[in-house]
Amino acid sequence: MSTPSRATAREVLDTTDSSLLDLVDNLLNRGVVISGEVMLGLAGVDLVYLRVSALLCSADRVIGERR
Amino acid sequence: MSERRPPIEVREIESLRAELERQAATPQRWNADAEDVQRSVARLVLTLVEFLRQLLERQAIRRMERDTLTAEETEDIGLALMRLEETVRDLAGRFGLSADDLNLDLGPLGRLL
Amino acid sequence: MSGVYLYALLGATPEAGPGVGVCEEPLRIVEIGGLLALVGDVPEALPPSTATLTAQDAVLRRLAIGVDAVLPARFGTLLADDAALAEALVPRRGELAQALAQVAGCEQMTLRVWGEQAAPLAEATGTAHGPGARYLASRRRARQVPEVEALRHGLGALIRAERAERHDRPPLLATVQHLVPRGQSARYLAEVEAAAPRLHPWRVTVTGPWLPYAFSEAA
Repeated sequence: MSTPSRATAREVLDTTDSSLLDLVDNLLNRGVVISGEVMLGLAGVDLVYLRVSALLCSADRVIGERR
Repeated sequence: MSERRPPIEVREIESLRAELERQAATPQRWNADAEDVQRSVARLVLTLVEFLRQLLERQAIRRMERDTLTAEETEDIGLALMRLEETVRDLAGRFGLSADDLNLDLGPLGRLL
Repeated sequence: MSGVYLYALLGATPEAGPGVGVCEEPLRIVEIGGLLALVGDVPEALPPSTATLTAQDAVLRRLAIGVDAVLPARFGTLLADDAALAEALVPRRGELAQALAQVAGCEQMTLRVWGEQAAPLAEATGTAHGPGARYLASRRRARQVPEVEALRHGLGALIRAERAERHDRPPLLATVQHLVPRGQSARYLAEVEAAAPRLHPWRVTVTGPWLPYAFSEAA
């Protein structure tokens, strides 16, 4: 899974239109996230890719609440 | 019916933009600093733990609000979170790390909270 | 890297067909574990820009005309293929189905709360007994937005659900998202205007209606 480049994300914030800022906030910070990923690098080299979709489920939603 | 909206002030736009920029900012990638490997490792570990702590806190509060925790569970979880917060703060302090330092690039996870 | 781009989860198949996506690609609907995923096959994920963000929002607004429940995905959600999409969605289908049910027939109004100083924290109500329970209660209070209580009172049942986040970066103190029934934005704005004097010393500004971006979890 790929994610939008952070550097280009900053360009979209170059506005004084509050509606546009909220558009950016809604699309980049909200919405359903179905898989998280963390890239661990060392000395600028990407080495380990972690997919952490399990982190995004609360246990009670997966297993069901007991009461 | 009128659709009049309260006007937003310039100062307000600026602080909103600053907040969104903070959320979009590209934090440093993790790099084990040869001079201080211990501090670099501590920074990575504490960042991940702090992220998890916030996730756990949020979920615990939701369960508490939905009344799906017993009084004992609430007390136990509360104590555990309290100690976790103290521990992260203590360890961060020992390595000279501020709250801002615990902000490595977590990709989309970083904007989960 | 080409792949399957997820736009949203839908509560029903649009009668008029799904239309096209941001890359002019024909959209399709994939049924996964009881959920309907709206996807497009794209050569690569587009980077965020005013144009691409607006375009993605427009695709979903158009669809929402004919579909009661639309749960937008975060911008940039690209997967390798339908199998990867299924793998990601299936474990969360219960939770996502609940979120979809909650947003059916609703849209989102976004409030920004402005002021020089946050409202003082509410007093502990004394029902928490031990230090752990008190800690959890105080963490909960720290996340609340009491500044707009007068507005909540005025909006009443118009608020189907709320998501709040404190920033405490004066003048930006907090953001509150309200899930309201579709078509009620004029009433919502009228109430915001009416409540303004009661919110002093705090102010609010409103944008919306939006699709329910902030309600991706049923909370």
